[in-house]
Amino acid sequence: MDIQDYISSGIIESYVLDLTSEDESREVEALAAEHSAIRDEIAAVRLALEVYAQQFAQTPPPSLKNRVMAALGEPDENTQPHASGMPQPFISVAEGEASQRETIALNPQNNPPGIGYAAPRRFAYWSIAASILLVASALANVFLYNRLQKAETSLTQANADQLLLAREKQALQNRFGSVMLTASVVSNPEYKVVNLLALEKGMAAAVVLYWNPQQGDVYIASNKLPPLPQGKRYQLWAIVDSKPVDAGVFEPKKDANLLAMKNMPADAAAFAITMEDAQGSPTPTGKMYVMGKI
Amino acid sequence: MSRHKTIAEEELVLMLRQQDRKGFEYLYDRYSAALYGVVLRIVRTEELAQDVVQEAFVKIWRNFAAYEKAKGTLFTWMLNVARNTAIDKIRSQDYRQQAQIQDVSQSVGIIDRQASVEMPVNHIGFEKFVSQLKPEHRILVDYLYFKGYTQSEVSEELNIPLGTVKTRIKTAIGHLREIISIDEHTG
Repeated sequence: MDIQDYISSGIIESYVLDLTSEDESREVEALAAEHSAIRDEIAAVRLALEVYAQQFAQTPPPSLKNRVMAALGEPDENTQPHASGMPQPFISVAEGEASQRETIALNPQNNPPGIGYAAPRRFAYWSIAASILLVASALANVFLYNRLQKAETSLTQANADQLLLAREKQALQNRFGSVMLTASVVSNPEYKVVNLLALEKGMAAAVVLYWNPQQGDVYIASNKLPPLPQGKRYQLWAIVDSKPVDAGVFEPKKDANLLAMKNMPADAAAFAITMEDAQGSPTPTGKMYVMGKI
Repeated sequence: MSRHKTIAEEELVLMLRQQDRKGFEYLYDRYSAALYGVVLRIVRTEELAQDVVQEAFVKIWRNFAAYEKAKGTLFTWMLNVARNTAIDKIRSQDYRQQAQIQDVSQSVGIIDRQASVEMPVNHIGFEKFVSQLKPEHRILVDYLYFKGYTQSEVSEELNIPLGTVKTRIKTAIGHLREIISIDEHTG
């Protein structure tokens, strides 16, 4: 199986969107284990969708976090050492702890050795103070996080704007380049203007060429020709020593830019255009539309 | 943004496997806005969306063992949990209100109606980014990714042939990837 074909079949996208059947999913996973190209593709599709989802992000009210944390329930026994090292910023937890300790204090037989009566109360003060500090710090975090998100958003926006400008600039540069070429050809006295005229009376066909006999450059400046049927192209010929020489195949252009053709030697006596098959022909076989003598 | 995410994710998964509340808080801080935004696209009100997000986070905490790294990123998994919770919520709410049993195909219509009220989005960059995606692609991603439709449901709902849905998914995600890679190159 060709991996590139597999990737371009669209199955990766369906897999990431969870639209594949179980068999298909297994196949994708098996191939992913084997080919890094598939793994990369899966990761890229996922990232694209995740970034897209992030565009809709909306910060929920800060109260939701407290609700969620409270809904988790008490921490498990095995996380206690960690949790006591870093007190939780939730008053509900701290209060729970304090009251628990008070209950313990009321039953001296449960007291672990070494902890006196005064300890729980002092601990409660500290935990309340610490909780307040942590809540303040959490609020500051929320505030800073929002600021950061706003900054990131404006940065994305600025990047998008910059990209747009860069594209516009590139497009203008391209247009400017072709305008400059036209100007340099038109104003260069070495160029000859060759008017190719319709061979049949009443046919709306006329082509203007710029040809530099010294350098050989040939440009089509304007072309009025009948529309091409499917699979056909126009072919330009130079008549050199009474024989036609291929000067290139073209489709009529729709803009004012010059269309560069093949270079033609100084002894060309005339130019002509015929209609040929799309790939061109070594000698003219189709109907001749326009011709112009030098 | 994405680079920083992939580095920390491994560690975060480890913390959550050990039921570490600090890890969970971090998870909440990092993903709640994204999940809330997606849930708001499925359910009607902010109040309901908050209930859904809370329920989803509790599920994420309790069922974290079910998360398989090989099957996707943390975010994709969380998004699935949140999305399914939202869809369940809408269905059950509808049961309550109408006190009649709906079949699955009808529920799909319900989700659609409920989500048809577009939620305001307060991101500045949002319009620019999302509007780079063609409307027919946007709606497709919306249905399949956020609302959990199947391809044939989308085909019926939007009245386009199944084959077109399949090719359009590929094109839509291709465009998304272009938009994103452009963002990264200039950033």
